Amino acid sequence: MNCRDALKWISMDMDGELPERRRARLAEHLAGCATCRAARESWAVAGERFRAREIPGMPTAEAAWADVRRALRQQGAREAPAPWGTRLAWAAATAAVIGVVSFMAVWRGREPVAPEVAAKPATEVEWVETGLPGATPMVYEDAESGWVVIWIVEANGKEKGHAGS
Amino acid sequence: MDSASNPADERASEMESVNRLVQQARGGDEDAFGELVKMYYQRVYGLAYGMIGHVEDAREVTQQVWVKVWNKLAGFKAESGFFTWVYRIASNASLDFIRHRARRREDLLPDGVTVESFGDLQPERAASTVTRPDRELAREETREQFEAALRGLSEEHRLAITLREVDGLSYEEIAKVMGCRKGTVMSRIFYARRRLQEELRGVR
Repeated sequence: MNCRDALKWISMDMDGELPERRRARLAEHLAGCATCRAARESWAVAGERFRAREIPGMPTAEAAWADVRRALRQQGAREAPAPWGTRLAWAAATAAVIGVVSFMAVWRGREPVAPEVAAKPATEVEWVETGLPGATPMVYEDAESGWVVIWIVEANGKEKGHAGS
Repeated sequence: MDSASNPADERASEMESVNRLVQQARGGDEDAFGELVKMYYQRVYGLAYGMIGHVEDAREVTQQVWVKVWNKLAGFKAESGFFTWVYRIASNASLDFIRHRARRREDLLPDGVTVESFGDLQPERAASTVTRPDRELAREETREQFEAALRGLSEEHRLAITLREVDGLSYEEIAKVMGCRKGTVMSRIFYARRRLQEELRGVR
C-alpha cells in the first residue's frame, strides 16, 4: 500500500467510513510509516480545533424561538402549511371552478344578444296560462319593436303567437 | 461498547421524537415547530456562523432558514431525516449568502483588488486581544491561524469538513445535504484535511 491510498483510508477511518476489511491493512501501513502517522495526528488536532471553535452570538433556545416566531409573524408565514391531500383537493376544486366558468363564458358568448336589448331593463311577466295541456310557452321582448311576444308551442307541434306592447 | 454513547444510536432515537414533532408541526402546531426550532437552532446557527463568520448575518440567515422550513414543511418527505433536510436548507442559504456577499463586494472594489484582501471579511473576534497574557495571546494567534486556514478553503470544502467535524454527519448524510455523491464528499473532506494540514504546518 502506498501513502496516497493510506492517507485516503486514514481520512475515511477517522470518519468511521472505512470498511472493516481494510483496517488491518491500514494499521499495518501506519506501523511502518511515520509520515502517515503524522498526518493522522495533524488531522485529529484540526478536528479538535474545529469542535472547540468559538461561536459568538449564540442565542439561548428560548430567545432563538422568540426570534423565529417574530419573523414568521412579520413575514405572514404563520398560516399553517396545509397537508398535501388538502392542497390537492383545493387545486382540483379550483380547476373545476375555472373549467365551469370558462365553459359558461364560451357558451354564453355564442348566444346573439343585441346590445340595446341587454341594456334595457328586463320585461317582467308574472305568469302565462295557455290552457293547452303539454304546451310550451315562451316569453320574450322583440329587440326591434320593443313588443312583448308570447309564443306558445302546442304539444302537437302547432305554434300560436301573441304580441303586445 | 456503550450503545447510549454511540452517535448513530442517539441520532436514531432523536429522529423518532423529531418525526412526531414534524407531523404535529405539519398540521399547523406552532408549539411543536417551536420545539424543533429549539432543538436545532443552535446547530443551524453554528453552521451558518461557521460558514459566514459574522454574527448578525448568521442570525439573519438562520432566521430565514427557519421561516423557509415552516413554509416548506408540507413538502418535507419523512424518509429523509428532518435535520438533514434542515441542514440542506441551511447550507444552501449560507452558500447563497456568501456568494451574494462576494458579488456585492466585488462590485464595489477597484480593479485588481480582491475580496480576500479585505480584513472585514474575517470572523468577528469574541473579545479584543489587547492587554492579554502571553499564553492567551498565543492561543488567540493559533485560533486566528486556524480560522484563516479555514477561510482559505472553498465553500464546498469548508462546508463538507464542517458538517463532518462539527456536526458529526456521515458521508451519506453530507451527500444529501450538499446534493452530491458520497464519493465527492469523501474527496472534499480528504482535500480539506490535507489543505488545512499544509496551512497549519508548524502551528502549535
